[in-house]
Amino acid sequence: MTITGAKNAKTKKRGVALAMVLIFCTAVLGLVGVLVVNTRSKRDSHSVQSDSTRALMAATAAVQLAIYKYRVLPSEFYKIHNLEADLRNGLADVAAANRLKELKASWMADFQSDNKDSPASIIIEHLNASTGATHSFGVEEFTVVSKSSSGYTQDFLKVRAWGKSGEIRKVLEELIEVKISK
Amino acid sequence: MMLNFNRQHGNDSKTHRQRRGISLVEILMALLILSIAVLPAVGTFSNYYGVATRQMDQEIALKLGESVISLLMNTAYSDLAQGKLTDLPMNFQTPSGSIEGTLSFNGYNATGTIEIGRVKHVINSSISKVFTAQNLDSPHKNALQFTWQSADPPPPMPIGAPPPPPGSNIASYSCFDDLLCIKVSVHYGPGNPIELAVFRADMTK
Repeated sequence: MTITGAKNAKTKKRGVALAMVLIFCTAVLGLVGVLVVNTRSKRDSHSVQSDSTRALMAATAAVQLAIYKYRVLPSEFYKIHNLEADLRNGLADVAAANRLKELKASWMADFQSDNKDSPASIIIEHLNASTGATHSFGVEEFTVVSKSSSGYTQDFLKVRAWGKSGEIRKVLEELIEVKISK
Repeated sequence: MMLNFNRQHGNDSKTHRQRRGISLVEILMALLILSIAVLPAVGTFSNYYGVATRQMDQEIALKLGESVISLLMNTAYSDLAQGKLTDLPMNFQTPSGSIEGTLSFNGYNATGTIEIGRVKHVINSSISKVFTAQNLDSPHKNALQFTWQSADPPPPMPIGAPPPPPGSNIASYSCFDDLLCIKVSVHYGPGNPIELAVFRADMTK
């Protein structure tokens, strides 16, 4: 009886090594699976990084374009700003508000790359050709944050621009100090 | 009884021998299965290491490209626009110390080499004009042209005259400065080079 029991115990022990190896192999395969997934995500993260940088550069181009337009056409920009101030102070009617909307849309149209034949659309063609990626950019906000009461001597402009490369969209906000020399 | 016991003992020793033999087969099988499982794992580890190394090189190349763009964005605009730059010192701060190099200009094109670790990064840069400054003596169509809607009220129309067509109060202005495209590419090995581009307007005046 004892010998039979011992034999059964030994029989039960058979295949333990195989079972352990199978468990170990499963663990190794699991590890390999994790590595494969990790490698793939790492591979994607590089293109995300490149696109992020390119998107920021596209947004920088939009900011440059906006500030440059302000630089060459300051009077037109301030006319819009003054109309906005009138509207805020309740000095403008509904017709003036509609007119302001039109003026702002017209002023901002040059900075949107989706607008055909705008300077922004020409820039985006160069950008796409230079980098081989697909870009777009635009300016969301271009306002005067503070304005000196003693004429156009010092202003702070706020430009919020966005840039897109591939699927990545980045927003860049810049506060620019403008000093007008006499 | 004794004989039986001996026989049983003999059987037991035979079984023990058989079990030892099976263990060897088991070990061999285990080794076979293990090697089948481990070999792809080793391949994956090697692949992972390659990806990680390549990614690190790509990241360094991207950072180098960004630094060169930043350097060129802060260089005198007139020198860039006129192709007057000769040599620009480059200084990159890394965790292991600072790495220096020179971006050598030849007109509107520049090259430089930076060695980080075992990887040699070749930086190429080119400056081109997207829009050319307008010239009143010989006007051209390649100038940067801004449009805006006049905020002034439209002039009074004569009685009976047809209404002005839409968009007739849109004005345009042709700029008297170039708009530059700064393109930088960083070659860092067998992978595709990093290509970056940005635009720069003249903000100095």
